[in-house]
Amino acid sequence: MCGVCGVLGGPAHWSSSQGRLQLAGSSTVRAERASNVKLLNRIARTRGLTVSDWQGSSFVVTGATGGQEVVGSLSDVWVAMDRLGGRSIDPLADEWLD
Amino acid sequence: MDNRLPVNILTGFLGSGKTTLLNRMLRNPAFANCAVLINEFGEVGIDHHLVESVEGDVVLLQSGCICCTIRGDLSSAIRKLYEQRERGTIPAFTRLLIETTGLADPTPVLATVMHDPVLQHHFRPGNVIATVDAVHAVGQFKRHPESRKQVALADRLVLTKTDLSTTDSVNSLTSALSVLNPAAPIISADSPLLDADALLGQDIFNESGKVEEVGRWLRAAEKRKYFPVHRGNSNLHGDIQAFVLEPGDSIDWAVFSLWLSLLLHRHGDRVLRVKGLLHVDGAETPVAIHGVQQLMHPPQHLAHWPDGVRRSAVVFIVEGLDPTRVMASWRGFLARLTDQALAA
Repeated sequence: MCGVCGVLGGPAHWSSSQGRLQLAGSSTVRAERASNVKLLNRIARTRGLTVSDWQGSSFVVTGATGGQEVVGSLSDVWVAMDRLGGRSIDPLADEWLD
Repeated sequence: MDNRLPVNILTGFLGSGKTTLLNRMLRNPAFANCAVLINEFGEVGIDHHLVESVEGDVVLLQSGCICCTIRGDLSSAIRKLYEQRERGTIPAFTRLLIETTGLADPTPVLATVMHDPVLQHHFRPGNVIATVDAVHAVGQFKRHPESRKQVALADRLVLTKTDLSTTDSVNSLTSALSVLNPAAPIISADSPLLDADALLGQDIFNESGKVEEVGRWLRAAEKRKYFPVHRGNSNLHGDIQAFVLEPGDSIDWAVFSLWLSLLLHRHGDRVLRVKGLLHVDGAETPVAIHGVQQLMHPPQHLAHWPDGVRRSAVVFIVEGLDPTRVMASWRGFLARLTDQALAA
């Protein structure tokens, strides 16, 4: 459990910096998730989806028609986006290339 | 400090000399405390007091990709060994070495060590060692894609049967291997300098050796900034290519990790290896990342930059992906996700 946030959780996703990276102005679990959710929404909105944090322990992915999935990890967020967005997000597709 | 027991995987195509190499390593006193699990007993016997065999089932987890395949048989075998170690009924081994079958993809073995809910607390992955038959490898690469993948996934390549091959053939094969997997040192099994510690002991998790290990990746990257393998003999490499992404300085860890996570979600079965060093925004020391297919290890700091050069570089070994699209994808995400880009 995070002593600052009181967040219970399973094994952290590999991308989590918590307890692994020493970054200037290090944030709490909740602050990191809030930042990640902001970035995730910039991706999700290309499919009419939104992503929100739930209690620092889960993500809620919401589709354009109101359908929702509560998922535990970042990997699961991508799976939920694929399902609710109707069309999977491919980072190598033309729309994402520089 | 990571006190978990390292698990090394010894892979290599059928008849490429895995068991012979294993026997040689186990004769080294430095590996007296090594336990060994083998998938099947071959023609070459192993004289070691801590050898167990593995047979049986495979459990496919919900997401369905091969990297999430936990091998129930292997998990049970490792747990059994660990329980015996804790009870004191076998010597307190300090390393576990798993020899796979010649046709095996080592990824599910790594997945088992990394994701099994019990094992992940007691064991950590170590180097993957692949034996390469100097006489038959070229033919095997052409006919058996799994042999190419074993080489591409490895941290160390050991050339076997060099005494049965010509110098020209060995040199040609060595060149091909260094293109297929530029970050893996190539060691001759016949060399009197075959150093078991260099094969098994020095890895990215090893406190004393990890800067040198990452330095090796970067030196390999420096030599081959971007090199389409098809300029060489495509029959040998198939669709496997290695390239270097230079993601820039002061990288926003959240943006980079989201991008890489999405890339691996969509194309992880074709991203065979990722190894790199990043200058992360807000971090005083470099951050090393590495993974096999969808199996990424958590990021970790190095004490200092290898060779004193501060430069972010990520080595990718991919199969059937266009390196220029991967690099353009990173730049595209960076442009779309960063606050500066939105503010502009």
